[in-house]
Amino acid sequence: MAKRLVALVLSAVMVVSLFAGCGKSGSDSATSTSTSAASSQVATEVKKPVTLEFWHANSSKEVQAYFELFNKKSPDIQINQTVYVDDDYKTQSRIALAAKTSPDVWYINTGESLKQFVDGGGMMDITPYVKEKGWDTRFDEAAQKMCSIDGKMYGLPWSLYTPWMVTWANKDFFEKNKLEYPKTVDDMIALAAPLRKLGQEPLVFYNKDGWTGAILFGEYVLQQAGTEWIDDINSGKTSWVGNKEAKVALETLAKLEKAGVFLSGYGTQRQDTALLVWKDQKSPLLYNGTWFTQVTGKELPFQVETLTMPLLTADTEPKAYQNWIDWTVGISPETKNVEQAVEFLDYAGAVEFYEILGNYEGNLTPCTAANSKVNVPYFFNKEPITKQLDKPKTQYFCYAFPLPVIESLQTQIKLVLSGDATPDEALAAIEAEHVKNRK
Amino acid sequence: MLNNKKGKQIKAYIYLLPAAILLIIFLYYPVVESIGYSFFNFKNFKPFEFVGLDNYRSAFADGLFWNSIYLTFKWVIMNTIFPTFIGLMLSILVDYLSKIQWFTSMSRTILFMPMMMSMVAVGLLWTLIYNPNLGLLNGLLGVFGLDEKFIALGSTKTAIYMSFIPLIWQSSGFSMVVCSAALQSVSKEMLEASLIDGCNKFNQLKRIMLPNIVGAIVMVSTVNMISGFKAFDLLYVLTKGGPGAATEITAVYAYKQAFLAFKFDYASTMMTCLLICVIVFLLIFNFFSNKVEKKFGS
Repeated sequence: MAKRLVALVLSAVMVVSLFAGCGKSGSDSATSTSTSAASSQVATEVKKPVTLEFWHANSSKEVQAYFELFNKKSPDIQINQTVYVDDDYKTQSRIALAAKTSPDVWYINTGESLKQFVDGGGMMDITPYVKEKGWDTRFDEAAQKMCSIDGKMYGLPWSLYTPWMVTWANKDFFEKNKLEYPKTVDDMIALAAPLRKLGQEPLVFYNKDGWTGAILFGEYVLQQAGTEWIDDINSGKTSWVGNKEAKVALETLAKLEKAGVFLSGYGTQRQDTALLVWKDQKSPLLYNGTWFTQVTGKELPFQVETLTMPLLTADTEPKAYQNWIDWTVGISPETKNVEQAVEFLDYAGAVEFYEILGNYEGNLTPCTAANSKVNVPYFFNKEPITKQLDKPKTQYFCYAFPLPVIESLQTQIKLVLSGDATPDEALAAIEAEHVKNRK
Repeated sequence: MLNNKKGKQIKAYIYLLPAAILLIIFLYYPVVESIGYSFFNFKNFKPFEFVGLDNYRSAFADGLFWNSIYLTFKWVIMNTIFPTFIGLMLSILVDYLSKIQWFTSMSRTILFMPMMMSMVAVGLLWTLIYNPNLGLLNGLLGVFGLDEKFIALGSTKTAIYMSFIPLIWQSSGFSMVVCSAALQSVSKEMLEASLIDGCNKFNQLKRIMLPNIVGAIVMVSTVNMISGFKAFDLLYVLTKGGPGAATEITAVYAYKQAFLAFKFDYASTMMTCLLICVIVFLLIFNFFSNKVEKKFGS
């Protein structure tokens, strides 16, 4: 009996051990594209080049080639870039932060993540170099603000201008069927049934990963409140419980879901397949940030109309927009080569870099000088997008809070959408998590 | 010196030592450490302060945790029964009822093929099959005039069952192969004697074949049950626990808490609770499987 018991315990342990100690994995999912020093080419050179470790998660060949070019241009500084898978990078960068094994230069999310990294000693204050390098004129003010905490800048903006708060319409379909574009949530709900009768999915929205739900929730919060809403809720000045804006936003999401507005099976749909539904003209409306062209391509088989996101009421004027900059590139205080790291950082955030990135993705950039050379599809240059440029902006809601709160927010939104939680229950659960994470 | 009886025993232990050391380092130590983590609060990926049973109190008050435990056991029970039963049926069809040798061999190979695929690949494949707008399933239903969309993973009530179908497709082949081997090992003399005595195929199956392969069936059920507890990859790829929390088994929930919310303390707590549940469940299963084996004398 004792032997049997031991055998049972061991087999149970084997099952559970699958998940044990899982926080200490290596960086095997990363691909390291080491471009080794070119010192051997210059036999007379005495000074050994400085090698900087650079971590990021941009897998585009154009971007990697741009950094490989740095090694050729600058024999004194060599870059060893490690490219991670996006999701994995969040874990790996935090492990490095905790273990004090950060690279010389790396990029991280803005918002609460930036605060976490600054508090944890993972991002160096680069304010002294801002004027010297001309970074203050290279990037627009809102973008610089996204990379700053308490007036100190910790990184350069490192992503594109990818606004949401819009819906993309198949103009040909609407004209052919003589349908009006939806302006409000009620219009959208009223349009759902006729569209389904026409064999169409009313609105492409996918929420398998949860972050899209958080962004959609954010849209409806920011239609009612400004950017201070996030600061207040993070500081504990206001609570999720009984929060009017959050409750209205959750109720709106539930209302849209109940009316069958969202893509069939949206709760288990991924971005790539969902976007193809719109491209294949099985839905006339898409809710997505401007990066959808990475999946659908910039040339679509129909004319695209850019619409303002369905508003809570016809006279609603959004107070703020969720936008960039969701990533920032900065220097680790652990580096022994600050001077070289600053030089490389300047290259990583150069105008040429944004031209490459902007043209690759077909989006405007936070670097104003690069934008004139970026080829943007016509539907990104429409008023619902351009009017956002001068409005108050904040980071996406899927980055705006401490990570456990973000996870709780995403889960609770899913539960509200599936009818397994009421908005009040959801807000209570999020607040319970946030209480543990406020300083 | 090591040639006497005691010496040989010591020698055996020495040979076992490398494997034992590896097991302790990579299996048992992390499990023990993980249990230890469940009594701490984490900060910056490290145990920060001892909190006693606070994490357990949080888990027991967490509706999503209980939901995940319920779904885990539902999954385990389905995984113990269905692939085993379907595998057994397939083995009877393929090995016992079919008389064409080439057809038997080909069928066995085809049915076993999905077993060679990784669960992630199976998940991705079935995500595409189930896609309500672009998938094969709705395309096929459309061919038969069923134009209303079937949203396989869209309903919170049915998502767990629809997620299970790919698993049946993938793992029944294993059960079939084991049962086939057991069926082939049944004494031919016994079968011939039963035919002479006037036994038909059905009675032969019921009274001779099945009692003789009970041991194999119990073994397959046990393996399937253990793999049920290990389920993670298929559900994570197919649904990520959704819609809502309809397919969020404990492994998926713990993974999200560990790697998305970075709450390693809470994830360790949940996995420790699951470990205890697994031990209790295995004890009960073992008790009943022993009774079955004793009854049929295998």
